[in-house]
Amino acid sequence: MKGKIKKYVALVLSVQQLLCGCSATELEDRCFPMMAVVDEKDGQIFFGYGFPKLSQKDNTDLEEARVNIAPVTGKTMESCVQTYDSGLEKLADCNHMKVLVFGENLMEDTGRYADVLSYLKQTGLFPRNIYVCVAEDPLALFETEEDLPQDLGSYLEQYLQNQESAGSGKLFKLGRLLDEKENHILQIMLPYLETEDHIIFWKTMYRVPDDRFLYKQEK
Amino acid sequence: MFSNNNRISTRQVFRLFVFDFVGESTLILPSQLAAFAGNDGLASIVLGGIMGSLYLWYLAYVLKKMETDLVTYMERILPAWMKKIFLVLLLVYFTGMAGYGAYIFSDVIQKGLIAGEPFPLILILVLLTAGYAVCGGIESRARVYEILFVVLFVLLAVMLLIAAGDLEMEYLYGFFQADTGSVMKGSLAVFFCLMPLFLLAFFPSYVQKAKWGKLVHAVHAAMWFAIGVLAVLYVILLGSFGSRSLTTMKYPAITLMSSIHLRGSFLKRLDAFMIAIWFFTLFALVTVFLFYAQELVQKLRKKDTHKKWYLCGVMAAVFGVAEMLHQSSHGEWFRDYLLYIGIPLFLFLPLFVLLWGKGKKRHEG
Repeated sequence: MKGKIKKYVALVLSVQQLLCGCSATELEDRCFPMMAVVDEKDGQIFFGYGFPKLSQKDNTDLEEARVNIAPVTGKTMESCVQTYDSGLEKLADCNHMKVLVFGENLMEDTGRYADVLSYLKQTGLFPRNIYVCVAEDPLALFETEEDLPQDLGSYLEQYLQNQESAGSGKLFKLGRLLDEKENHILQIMLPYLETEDHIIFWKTMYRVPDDRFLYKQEK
Repeated sequence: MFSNNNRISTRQVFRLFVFDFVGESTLILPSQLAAFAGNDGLASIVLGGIMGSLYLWYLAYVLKKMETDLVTYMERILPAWMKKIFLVLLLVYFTGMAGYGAYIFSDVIQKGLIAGEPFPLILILVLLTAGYAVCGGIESRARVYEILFVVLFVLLAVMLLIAAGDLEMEYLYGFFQADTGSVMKGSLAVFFCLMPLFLLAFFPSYVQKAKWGKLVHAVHAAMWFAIGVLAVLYVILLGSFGSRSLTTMKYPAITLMSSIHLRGSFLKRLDAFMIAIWFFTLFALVTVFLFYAQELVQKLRKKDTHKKWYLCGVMAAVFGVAEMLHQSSHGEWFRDYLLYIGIPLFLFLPLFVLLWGKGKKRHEG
C-alpha cells in the first residue's frame, strides 16, 4: 500500500513538473531581433528591429517567418513596440540582441530621449549588455545589409568591438546608459555611425546632449 | 565508501557555513548598503564582520561553558514549561528564516528564469526538493556542498575578474562621505545577514568533541571568507552600476552577471550558469533552517517515529511564511519580527540559559 502511495505521489509530482512549461512560448514560436533602431521622425518616435537571415539560425527564411516588417511610428516608445510586436507573426525575444542604434534626431530631443530611456529601464525590454551607438540615419544602415556576410546586428557588434580594440573609442552598453540616469557622473560618448557607398564607418564619437551640451564632437 | 555516523568534518563545516552566509548577503545587502552609506558601505561590511567575530567569540565561550549544544543544555537545566517556550520561539525563528530564504529563492527563479510562472508552484517545488535534501541528513548535504564549493567559487572568481575589467573608476571615487550613523546602520544589516552564526549553538552534536576548537575556527574562517566575497562583489557592483543606481536594484549581483559582455563562444553562456551559485547558496540556507526546525519539532514531541510528518508540517509553515512575504511586497512584518523577537533571541538566549544553569548549580550546591 505504502509503495503504491509513493508511486502515485511521484507520478503527480512528475506531471506537475511537466506542466510547468505549458505557458512558455516554444522556440519555434519566437523570433530573435539582433538589433533595434529608435529615432524621431516628424515629431513621433520611429522604431524597428533588425532580424538575422533566419536560415542561419533555424532553417526558415524571412518571408516564411514574416518578420521582415517595416519600422513603425507612434507617439511613445511603448505604443511603437506594441504596434511592431502585433505585426510580427512570432514573439520577439530580445535576449540575443547585440546593438541598439539611436537616431541623431532623437538624441537632440532631450525630453523624448529621456522618455525612451525611462521606458527601457522600466520594462527591461532589451538586455543590459548590448552596445549603444548613434547614427544620423539609422535606416541607411539597413541598406548595407545585403553586402554583409551576416545580419546587420551581429556585424555591427563585431565591427564595434574590432574598432574599440583598434583604439577608435570606448563602447557604451545599454546598462550603463540606464544607470547614468540615476548616477549623473559620466559624460556619455557614443560611437557615431555613418554610411558611405554602402559601407559603415565609425569615425567620431557623439557626446550625448543634456541641457548644456548639444553638439557632435570630432575625435 | 562513506561513513554514516551523523558526524561531519571541519572542512565540511567550513563549506556549509560559506554557502549559508554567501547567498542571502550577496543578493540582498549591496543595494541596502548603497542606500545607507554609498561607497562607504565597504566600511560597513568590515564593521559587520568585526561584530560577527565578537558574536562568535561570545557564543563559543557560552557553549564551552555548557559543554554541549544549546538544546541539550536547555533540556538539562530549564524547567519543562520554560524549555518548551524557548523551543517554540526557536522553532518560529528557524521557520521564519527558512521561509525568508525560500521566498528569495523562488523570487529569483521567477524573475530570473521563468517569468510569468505562478509563484506558489515554484515555491512548492523548491520546498519539496529542500525536504528531500533534509531527509538525506546532514552528512549527504555536507558532501554535496563540499564538492560544489570549488566548482562554483572558481567560476564566480572568473566572472568577477571579467567584470572587474569593465569597471568605471569614476563610480569608485568619493569615500568617507557618509556619516557614522549611516555606516553603523549598514554594519548592523551586514551583522543580521550573518545570523546563521547562531547555528553554531546546535553543531556540537554533529562534530567530534575533540574538534570543538577547530569547529569554531572553521565557522570563523567561513564568515570572513563570505565577508571577503561580499566586499569584492560590492566594489565590483559599485564600479559597474554606481551607488545611486545600485540602490534601485533588487538583486544587483544577478543583474551584474547578465550585464557582463563575454566575448568568444566558449564563455558566452557562462553568465546564465553563474546564477546557479545563488540557487545553491539559497538552497543551502533553506535546507539548514528546515533541518533544525524539524529537529526542534522532534524535541518538542519527543518521538522519533513521525520524523517525516514533522518535516511536512514544518514545510507547510515555511510555505505559509514565504507566501505571506510574497504577498506583502516589502515584508515589514518580518523585519519587525526579526528586530524585536528574532535578533534578541539569538543574541541573548544562550547567555540567559547559561546564567540560569549557573544559578541552578549554585542553588543546588
